[in-house]
Amino acid sequence: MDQAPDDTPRRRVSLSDQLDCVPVYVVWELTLACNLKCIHCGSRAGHKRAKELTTDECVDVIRQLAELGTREISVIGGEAFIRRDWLTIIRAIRDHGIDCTMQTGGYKLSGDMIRSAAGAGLLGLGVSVDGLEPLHDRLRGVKGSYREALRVLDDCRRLGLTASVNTQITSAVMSELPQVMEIIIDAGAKYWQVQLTVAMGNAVDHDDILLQPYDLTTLMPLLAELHLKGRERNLVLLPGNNVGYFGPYDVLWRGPDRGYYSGCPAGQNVIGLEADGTVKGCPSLATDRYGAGDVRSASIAELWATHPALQFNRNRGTDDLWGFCHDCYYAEACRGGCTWTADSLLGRRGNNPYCHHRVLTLAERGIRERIVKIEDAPALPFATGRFALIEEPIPAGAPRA
Amino acid sequence: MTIQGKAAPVLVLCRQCLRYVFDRTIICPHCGSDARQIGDRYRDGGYLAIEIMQRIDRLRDDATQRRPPEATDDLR
Repeated sequence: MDQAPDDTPRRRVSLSDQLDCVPVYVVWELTLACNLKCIHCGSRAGHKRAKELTTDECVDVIRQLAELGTREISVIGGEAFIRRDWLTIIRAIRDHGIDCTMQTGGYKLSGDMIRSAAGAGLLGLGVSVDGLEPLHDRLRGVKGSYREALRVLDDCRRLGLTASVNTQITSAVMSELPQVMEIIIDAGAKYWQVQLTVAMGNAVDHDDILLQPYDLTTLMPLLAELHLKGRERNLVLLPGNNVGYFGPYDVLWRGPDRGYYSGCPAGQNVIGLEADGTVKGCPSLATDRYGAGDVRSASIAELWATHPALQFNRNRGTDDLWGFCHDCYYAEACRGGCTWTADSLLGRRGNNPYCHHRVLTLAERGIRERIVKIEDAPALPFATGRFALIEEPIPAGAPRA
Repeated sequence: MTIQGKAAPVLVLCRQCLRYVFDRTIICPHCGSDARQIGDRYRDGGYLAIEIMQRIDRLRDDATQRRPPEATDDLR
């Protein structure tokens, strides 16, 4: 059997979850305060928000989510552990029967803190590793952050806490990915989630780090090769929501046992929460277009049921698709892939050039797509700029498949 | 308050090229072969067993939702 071992999380969405719009998975920015200065950070984290939720408000949010059927909450930042009550929040999540995981840069997260988090009920820790040491430290904006990330992975292994690694795929990291995989396997990681860096916030300011859509021609076969090599060494390479869609390698990492990509789940089975209580369909979406009120002004159940900013995925129509995605064979299933990626890039969801099927289809016609920044992003969290999408003939000698 | 969403369409693997196609597709749009005919990689890779388990899951989901079950006549 050439499938990877089963690792079904509780966040797997069933038919009834889809039909009943159960917010199975919640990603919660506990604070926007951060001790790193990542040049690809979409939320421009650094300082805490003006009115972040109190401990009591956080516990009440957890109670509301439990009532809505949430099964997993992933706490993020900023850097979640900068909040003094982060362990109280983790414990409250577990006390409500919800799985709790955390994503971190790992900088200054000590072994004792990890042990305390595990004791409070944390089930898994995702650590960001964005390249080898020079690149990682440059992208993360703090010298020494790479070594800290690897030290945290080692601490997790020592303490028996499941560790995963998250890697941002930038234009700079592609050539380093094989070495990164070797290092994180040695460090004890069991899962490796990769995600394309999205044109949002700080990444718009540093748009040279963004992939060009045609880079998927090189990236996807590389990821497939790494997936197979990793599996031999007990590492599962998992694609993030914006790595896709329906290309020749999808069968490796999305199924059939894991389930194929079934479209963006934002607002149908996913909730994103900002530290001040703002509710979105996905934590990464632009707040100005997708903010759906906050937990201080209404209950989450009321917002979830009624706010238009959370409704856009629920009827699963194809009316808002445009460009290549409008006429794609997979339109009905895929619906333009990751809303965050497409919307942040082009200012409107429903047309996503970061798609392997699309890249291959265009290549058959001798065409590739390239992005060019035409407008900077404001200095706000989750702010977007504007990019133009250029179609051009594939230059002689450039890879096509 | 009842919230009603729609379910994702059912996709299956072409049993020849292992690209995803819509359920009940006969000719694969990618490889042009009979998408229902079991190829070597599909058989040797254990995909048939996984496919059957998935179909059982979907039947269970359908029963839970009291929907008419999907056709299973292409399980051969």
